[in-house]
Amino acid sequence: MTFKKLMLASVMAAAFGGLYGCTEGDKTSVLIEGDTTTNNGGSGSDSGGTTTVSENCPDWASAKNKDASGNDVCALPSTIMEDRTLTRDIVWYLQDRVTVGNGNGEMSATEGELANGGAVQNVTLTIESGTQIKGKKGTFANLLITRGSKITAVGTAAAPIVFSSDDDDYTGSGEWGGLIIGGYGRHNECDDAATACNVDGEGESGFAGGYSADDNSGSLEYVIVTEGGYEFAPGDEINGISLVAVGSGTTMDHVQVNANSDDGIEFFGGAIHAKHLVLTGNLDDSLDWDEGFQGNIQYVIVKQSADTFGTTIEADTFGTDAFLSKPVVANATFIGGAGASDPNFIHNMKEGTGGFIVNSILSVDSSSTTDPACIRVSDDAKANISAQTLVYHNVILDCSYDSTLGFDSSSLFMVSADLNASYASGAAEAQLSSPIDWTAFNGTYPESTADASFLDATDYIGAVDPNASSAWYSGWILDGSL
Amino acid sequence: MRRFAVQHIAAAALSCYAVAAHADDELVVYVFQDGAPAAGLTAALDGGAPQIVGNDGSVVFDLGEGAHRLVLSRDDETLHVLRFNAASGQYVDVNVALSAHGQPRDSIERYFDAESAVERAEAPKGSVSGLVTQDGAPLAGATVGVRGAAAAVQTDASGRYALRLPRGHYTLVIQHDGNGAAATSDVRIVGNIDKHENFAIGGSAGDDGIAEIVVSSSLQPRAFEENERFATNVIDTLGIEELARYGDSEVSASVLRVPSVTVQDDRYVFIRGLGGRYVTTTLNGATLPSTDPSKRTVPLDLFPSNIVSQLDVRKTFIASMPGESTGGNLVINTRSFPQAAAGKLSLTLGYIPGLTGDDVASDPSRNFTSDLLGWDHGNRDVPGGVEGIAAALEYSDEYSDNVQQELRRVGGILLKDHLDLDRTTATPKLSFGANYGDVYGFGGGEFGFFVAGNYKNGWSQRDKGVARTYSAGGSGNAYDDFDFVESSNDIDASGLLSLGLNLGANTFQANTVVSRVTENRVRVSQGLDGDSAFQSYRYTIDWIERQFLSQQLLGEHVLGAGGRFTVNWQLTGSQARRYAPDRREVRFDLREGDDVYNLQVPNLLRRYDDLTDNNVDGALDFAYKFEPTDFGVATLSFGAQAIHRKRDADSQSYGYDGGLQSGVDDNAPNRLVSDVLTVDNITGDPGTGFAFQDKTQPSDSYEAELDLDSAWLSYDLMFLERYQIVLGGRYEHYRQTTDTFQLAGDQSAVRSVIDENTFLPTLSFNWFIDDVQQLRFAATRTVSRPDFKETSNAVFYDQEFNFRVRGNPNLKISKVTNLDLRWERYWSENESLSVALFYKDFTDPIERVVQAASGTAGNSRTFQNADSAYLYGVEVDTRRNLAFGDAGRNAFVAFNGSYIDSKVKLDGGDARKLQGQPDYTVNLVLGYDDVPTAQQLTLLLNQNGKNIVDVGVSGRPDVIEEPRLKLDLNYKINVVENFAFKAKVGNLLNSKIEFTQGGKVFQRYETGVELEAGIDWKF
Repeated sequence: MTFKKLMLASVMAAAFGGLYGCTEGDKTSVLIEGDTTTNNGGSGSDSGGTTTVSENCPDWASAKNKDASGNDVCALPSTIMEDRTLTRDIVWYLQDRVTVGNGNGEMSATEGELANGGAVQNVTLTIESGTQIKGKKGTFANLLITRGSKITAVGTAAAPIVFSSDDDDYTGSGEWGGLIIGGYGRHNECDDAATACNVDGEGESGFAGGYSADDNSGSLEYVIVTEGGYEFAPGDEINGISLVAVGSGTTMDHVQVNANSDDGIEFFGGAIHAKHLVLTGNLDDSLDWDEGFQGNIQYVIVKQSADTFGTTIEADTFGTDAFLSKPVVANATFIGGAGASDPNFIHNMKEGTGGFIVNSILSVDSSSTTDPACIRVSDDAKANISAQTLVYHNVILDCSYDSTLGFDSSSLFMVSADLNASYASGAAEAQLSSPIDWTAFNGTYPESTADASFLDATDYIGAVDPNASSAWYSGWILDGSL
Repeated sequence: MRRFAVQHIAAAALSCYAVAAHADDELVVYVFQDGAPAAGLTAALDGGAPQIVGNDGSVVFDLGEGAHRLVLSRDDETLHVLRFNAASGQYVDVNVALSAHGQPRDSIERYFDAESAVERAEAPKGSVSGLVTQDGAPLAGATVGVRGAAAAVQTDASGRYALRLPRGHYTLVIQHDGNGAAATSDVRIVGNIDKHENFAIGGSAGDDGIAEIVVSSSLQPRAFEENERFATNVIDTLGIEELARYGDSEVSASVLRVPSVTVQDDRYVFIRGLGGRYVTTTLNGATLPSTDPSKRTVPLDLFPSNIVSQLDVRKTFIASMPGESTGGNLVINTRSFPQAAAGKLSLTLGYIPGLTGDDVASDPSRNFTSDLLGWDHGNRDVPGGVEGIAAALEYSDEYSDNVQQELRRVGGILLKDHLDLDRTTATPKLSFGANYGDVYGFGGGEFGFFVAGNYKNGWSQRDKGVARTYSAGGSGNAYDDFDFVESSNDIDASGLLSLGLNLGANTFQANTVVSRVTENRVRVSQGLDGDSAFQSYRYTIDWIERQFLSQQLLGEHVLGAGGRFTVNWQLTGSQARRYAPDRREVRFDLREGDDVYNLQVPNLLRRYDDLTDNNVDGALDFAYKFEPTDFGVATLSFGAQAIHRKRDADSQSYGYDGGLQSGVDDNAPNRLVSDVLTVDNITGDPGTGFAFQDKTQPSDSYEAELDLDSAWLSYDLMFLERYQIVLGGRYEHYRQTTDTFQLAGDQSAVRSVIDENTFLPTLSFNWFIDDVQQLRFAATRTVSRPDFKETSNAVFYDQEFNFRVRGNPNLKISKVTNLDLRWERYWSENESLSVALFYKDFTDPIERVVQAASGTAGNSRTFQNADSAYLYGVEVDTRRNLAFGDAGRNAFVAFNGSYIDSKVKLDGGDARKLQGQPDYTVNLVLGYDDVPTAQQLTLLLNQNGKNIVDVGVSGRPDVIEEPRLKLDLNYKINVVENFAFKAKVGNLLNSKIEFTQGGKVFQRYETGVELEAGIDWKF
């Protein structure tokens, strides 16, 4: 450590105009020359000059310098243990991890009571519509909502809530962390309600999990998360939104994750129900579930990055095989990446996953030169096809389909998706003769987890109704992202 | 303690010094027929010319190193044949009792003249007695003493004297104040032999004493005195003879020959199925720091066998041992100076078919000359400037984006070299060893030294490797499925300098040990990555230097009259260091779209590790032997020890960020990093190219300290000549602190502390049923404690096994109750059978368990105090000589085996056996000696039962190490007396090393058959 400081001193001492490094034997000098303008306050400006300290920060946040536009910038404290509201008149700054509540400590067998005897603090973080939250670029800055605590981030189409890095734009990836929510929901590492459930969570977020399938960790409405996915450990990036055992009492509607270095949204167990998801330009998988996730998701548009490593869905059960991951995904449009480096499949169903993909479209970007496989099912998930826990129903497969997988092909349509500018399908098969009856669906597939009270009975295939005058995503997502 | 009570004569001061070397009488044989000296028999050694047993029953021989065969005959009738081994420079005393009514019995005592006061005090004793006359009349009041020692007696009124001394060489000095004359006589005392030496002091004929040699001798009660049988606890000893015979180059390979001992990764010892925190290692009485970041265990491949004089595996706890010796205490004693100037050179060449001479992947930073000794000469340092740039980027707020980008660009350029694999030819393994020692006598004492150096340079491999993982589901197909080949250039260098000073009742020794093991390892894997479903080609390049340094000062003192009070002390400073600069991890994935490998730039990592343990250990031990009574003999021992250890662990990791969105071409059709990481592509901006990234984790570096202060007391009573009871206790104060930083969040400092006191009682009881049978029982308490990282609240990545470890600050120390029962039966000096039963009961045992985890935290472990555990087992050890018709040929068979079972009850009710515990261990050694042609052939066989190397994660089965039959064949011939040729075929069957999970291959590789040939030259 001492050595580093010395090196730093020698680097700083030479900080002018341009930068050179040269190494000669053991001797190294690094000379930085050039503009000495700095990012005071880290609010993301190269123009410099403005060093006015923000005036309107509440006493529980720390004032940073105002940003280039003159907005107040207030840094959130590293822990939030009381109910707080983030108001839209301030740019809220994440210097590092901000932890809401203490439910990520080790829990006793009684939810709400920590193993060390302390009580879980049930804290609500409210975020007003139109609020900007910015993570420090180049760090693992992230917002962590722990078990028992809630986030109430309710934006509007006109004024969505935006999480991003603290630079000027909304492009780039891996620049900051992301949003992590832990709940008391079910996780297949915890199968015995008599014992404490403590699942060591994604992104070094502490413990999550429990036995309350209807856990309510708050609301995310009209929320955008972009530029996240910082690599916090070698080879480990963080997802845009990580949901660890978040239950069905939680609301998620109109949420976009854009250009994340890792997955867009990853569900680790839990049973959250979500509608209106837009996952764009994410570098790993867009939709990822594991460890016994059994939520319902309806209206999803996935457009993979052209430079992706991942697939539109990467799905696992393991964890353990105590209970399967088998969510219902309805009215989704999956558009695989176009790059030559893309994997040659669009859905990656593996590690024993189940799932019900209904009224959906699998396609590739129109510029694609390859014809990827629609679905890869790994050996350990294949048994779920015949067990009817892995089901594709009313799905347009505009890609290469391997019929030997053994799916019931009577409701699979190997036709062009023919997507229009609103991502609605022009295919005749996209128009169903009648709305889907979820109760009947559950009758046909007894293992289905479809919640008829949550899912709409749509009569079309794809995320967008071919007959709608406008798409539900327009107006609130990031410009140019779709 | 003595098997037989010291009976009458006041023990003389036990001195340790040698008289001039007796080059031609290394072997002294006493033969008795029904209690009387068996004069007139003939004795022949190794088929040589027979010699006549003298009137006193003795005969002497010159003796060389190796296996020997002694034949006693009368008129061509062979009465008794005796086989034994001797090391170079060893003295051997043999007593044989022939009986008209029963089997002949024999005992063998081997020793070096250069031994410490205490060693000699423990040795069997003989006596010398006789009559001193002057001018034919008994001389009363003459002093008969031992040169250089306090021992002296006066002749009684009838001119008689008697001195009881440990076996060895002495010069008696006879002096009578009346006339001032001094006479001297060299005598060799043999254990349990009363030697008669009468002295006639001439009148005016000069000062020289005229010794009238032995009039008669008498045999004392039979003794079978040998280390194992006189120990109060259960010890398995490997002496210098066995170490030489087994031909293992490292201590870790040698200890495998001991019952119930297994070795993991060729370096970590498990005793009775217990490893890690349950085994302690001491070097000449001092504790050792470890070079392993995640274990307290000392890796034993650091210690070459040829600097070791004796290895003891002590399986029963006694109060003088470290309190954590639940499985046992491995005692390494290094060699000391010889009794006369002697040296040895040895040279060995090794060849592995399928590796040596072949072209193998190698480290691009390799430099034949500068790497030759195993020290990295800066080739693998962090590229100059990178640390500075990483430090500067921590303060990125202070710079504009342009400056940051420029820093990340230059950092990236500095970091991009030496990442492509090189190729080289695997050279034969060359081992060179030399040692030399000498001794100088001076008035009243002697000074000696021993210096040894070893160097080894060669290649090893893990060939035909398979590494797989499995899903929790039952499909049975591999998830990750890789083939790998690993080749490593191994460079070992070690040295020992031992200086000794014997001043009568005081012995001083200074030992300097330097030992280094360097591995330059390249592992290339290719296969399917289960997560991404891509074909992947990966390699890692490691350079790992492990070094052990120690400087010891040891002293032994015999105090007070009668030599009843002995003091032992040691002060040791030691350092263990693991320096692993520039581990490189490179991964290329094959994308099916274009069938071209792409460099996975974000996965590329260069890591620099440096871990240093500094250890100071001081101990002071006392022993007081009470005046023997008719009832028995008692000894009170007590001592104190203080250990301070400090660890500094530093780690830095660097790599790259970006490239994904930038459209930069990461195609690497030739799988060359240099095709992708070019100056043009490293833009410093992840949006347009690649940029330098500091990937160091806050918890990668930590500091830790421990203080262990202990005091112990032991009372040992031998009574009624048949029973021995030892009662003792050890008190330990332990304090350990670990300082690191939170991995996520505010990265604040985290400190964990353990501070506790423990009292550990011991009780052992030995019953010497008869001359040839013994029964031992012991009940003891030991302790086990968490290691540095295990109690830290911070999360660590275990780089070795690639899993995430969450420490547990609530860990408690664990207590263990041990019960031992052992029966021993001896047929002769080297024929015996022992059967031992052991049971251990653990309270709050510390176990590594799976941490339920999600996503990136998956594959996590943590530590837990399990509810309880027990372990029990039986071990058998036997050695018999095989009758061979043809004279001049010997054979023996040695077998040991153990069966062990255990159960640990975990939180939540699960139970399984302890990790690392094999179901059984088996060793079989077949030895064959052709004495006339000085040839020796040894076949060694080792196999251990299944053991759990890692518990299964999330419902997956445990990872099991499968049994593996290891067969070695050693051959040695003494071409001429000082010149030997030796050959070895190691791992004759080339058995695969295999780990399975649920019956399917988890990892498998083979290391190849090792052929070795070499020479030893003594001078």
